[in-house]
Amino acid sequence: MKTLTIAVVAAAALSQAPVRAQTQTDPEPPAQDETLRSVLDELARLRERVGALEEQHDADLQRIRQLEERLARPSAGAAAPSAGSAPPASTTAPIQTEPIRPRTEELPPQARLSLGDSSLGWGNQLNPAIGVLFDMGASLSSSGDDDRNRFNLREVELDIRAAVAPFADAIFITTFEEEIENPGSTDIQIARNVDIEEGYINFHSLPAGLSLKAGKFRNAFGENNRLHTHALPQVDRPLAVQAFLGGEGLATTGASVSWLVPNPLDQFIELTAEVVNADGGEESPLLGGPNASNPAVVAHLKWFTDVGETGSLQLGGSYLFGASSGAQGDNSSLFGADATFHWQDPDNPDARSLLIQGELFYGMNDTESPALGMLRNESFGAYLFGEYQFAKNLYAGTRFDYTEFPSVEDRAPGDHDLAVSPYLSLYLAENVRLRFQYQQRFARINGETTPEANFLIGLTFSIGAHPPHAFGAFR
Amino acid sequence: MNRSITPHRRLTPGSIDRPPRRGWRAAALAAVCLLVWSSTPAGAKVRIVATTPTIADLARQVGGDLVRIDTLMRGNENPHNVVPKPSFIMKLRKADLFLTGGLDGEPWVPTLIRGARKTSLRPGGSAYVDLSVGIALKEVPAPGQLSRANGDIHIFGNTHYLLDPLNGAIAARTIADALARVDPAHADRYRASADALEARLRDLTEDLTSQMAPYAGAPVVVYHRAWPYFLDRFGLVKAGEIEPKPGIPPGPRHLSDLAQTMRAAGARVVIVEPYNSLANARSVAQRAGAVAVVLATNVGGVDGADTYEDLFRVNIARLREALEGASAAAAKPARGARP
Repeated sequence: MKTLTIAVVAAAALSQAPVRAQTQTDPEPPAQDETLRSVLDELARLRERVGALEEQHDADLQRIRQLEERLARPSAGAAAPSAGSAPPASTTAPIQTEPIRPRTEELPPQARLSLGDSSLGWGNQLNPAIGVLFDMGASLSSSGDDDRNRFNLREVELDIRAAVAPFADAIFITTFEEEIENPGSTDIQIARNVDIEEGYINFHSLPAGLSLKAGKFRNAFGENNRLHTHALPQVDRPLAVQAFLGGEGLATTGASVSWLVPNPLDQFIELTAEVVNADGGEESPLLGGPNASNPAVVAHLKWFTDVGETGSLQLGGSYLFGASSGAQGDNSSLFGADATFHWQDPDNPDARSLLIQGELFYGMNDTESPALGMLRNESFGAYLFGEYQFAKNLYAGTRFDYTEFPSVEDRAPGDHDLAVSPYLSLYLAENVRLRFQYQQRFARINGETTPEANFLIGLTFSIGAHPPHAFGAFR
Repeated sequence: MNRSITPHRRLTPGSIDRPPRRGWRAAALAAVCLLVWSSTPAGAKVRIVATTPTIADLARQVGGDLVRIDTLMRGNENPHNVVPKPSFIMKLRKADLFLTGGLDGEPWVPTLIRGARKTSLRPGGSAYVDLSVGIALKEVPAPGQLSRANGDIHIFGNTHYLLDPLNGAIAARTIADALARVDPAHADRYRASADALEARLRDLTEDLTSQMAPYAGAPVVVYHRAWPYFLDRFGLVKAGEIEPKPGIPPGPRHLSDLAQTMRAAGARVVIVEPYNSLANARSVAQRAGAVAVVLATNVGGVDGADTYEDLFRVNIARLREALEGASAAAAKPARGARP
């Protein structure tokens, strides 16, 4: 810019010089030659000066380009200037006299990287928290079934979450699963599935203690169903949960309203009501099927109270109703009750605790038996487990399972599943858990009871963002 | 200050036409009495929920009888591993101010904030007070160190900053500013209390620092990486950690190596937090000819640490006793302590 200014001044001087010369020539003609010579001399000096400035300008531009190239290389910033390069002080003025450029070009390369390509939006700083949670293990079974004697990558969850607005958060959890299809046959296959475990927006701060979820989410039926696979207290889900709500529990698409019920004692009382698609629980015999009619309804009432200094008791009741569009009116109803007691040693709360949890399920559903036609099937299931923490990172417990089968298609009256499962949980780090579980199972299928011994190993761990600790997902 | 307003039913035209019955009159009278009772000066206190007993004590000293404080965790609990009970949510919903240590030292807090369903309690909200603001954090990891390969590290820096009493003075000022915001009528009183507390903490620091002067530069081993602020303030040097990385349980090899390191460095004391294994600490200490001593990380963490100042007095007294070699009493666990 400085060079340009000088050039303009010189040009102006040149353009005015003849005029002034002409003006002065008229009254005094003898001085014309002398004046002309002085002007020409001045012109020559100005030409030399402009040429020198142009050279300086070119050199400055060259230096600017060199410095920009060095800045573009991440390691260059820390390197000492080379002998031939200009000292920083001499580069300051030319950079300041550059025309105004987009802000990104004035930022250091690291900042430019974080801003990204502005044509695609502004940067990564608003990216959501991302975590990946792994659930894998191995099983050994006396049954000899192929799907029970193998290593398995049961589930990998990609957990993405962020605030949408001051009043809403969004959570997206997709699962990558490995499943055995056609176990026990010669046509055994490994299916690798991708599924949306949860994907919803949560309007978390509605008036009057309300919150609203919309999307796909784990349904508020009981306690165990709310847990993701990697957060289960034991390696497998309780048999009753599998029988009534599906192998991985019930997660459907719809809307869920939760209300903190005001009460004079300030107790935590939460009422949740959900209206969801009935076809979401394809693995649950209570929802889905060709005659399913939308919507299904889920309701849950929870009461929590402290017990003593470090104990707590939580009681809940659940209800699920799924209507049918079929002519037979094969509706499904499921009632649930849950209780959770948790206690920590007041003197050593980090290393001694006790957790007892149980749930009851009572289902009524119409199913069609090939032999007997439409049947009103009533079924019952329950689990109860107790878990004691022996050390900071060591837990041991036993779970008792009993369940009947809400589906009678391939079951005889009186069929049930019974199991006892002692287990051990060891935390190798806050986010790395190793579990060993023995399961003695007595399944009565079609009137015949078959004992079965299973040994399960589970390994869960996570990488990336650390999801917040939640009540219910005890260690 | 936020005040709760008791909702009442709207009168319908039909109800206006009917004369009220005596039962309703009695109920209305009872409701008015209840309203008057709830509006007494006791009800006018600023309601504070504090995550830790240490923060609660700072709030008590700043707020005095103008505040009512609920504390969520106990003094001998691990602040990184508190069960977020739903009953905490109910306390939080009534809070005018929610005082938290901030950063990522209380990973159970986001569950409570989400459960409370109030935007004012969220970070940036009018009731949310992050006491880490204004604190010069130590052990802030460089970008290359931000990896779980380095254990359960804190991504913003070490979160145990209140174990330096002068950081407590900064936190007290933050509390006073927050109280002045929600209760401007008593702003001067809150700020005067914070000033007085700062003066007391400076005197205390000077006194305790002089008590520790004979041990300046003494090497000590810690169980968890909870002590950089404390050690720096009182002139001790960390010679090792029982946890090989933060949050990672020690193995026998590490404990053996640590004992050797202690002997080589001349470390005579192992500091263990109330919630970590005293047996591990004693094991290492015995192998190295040292003693293990339980120090409070929070108010109420050990016997006698009933206030913020007492926490430092007790810790320094135990530490001096351990350093002097009278170890038996100092190494005795403080389990049974109550906040």
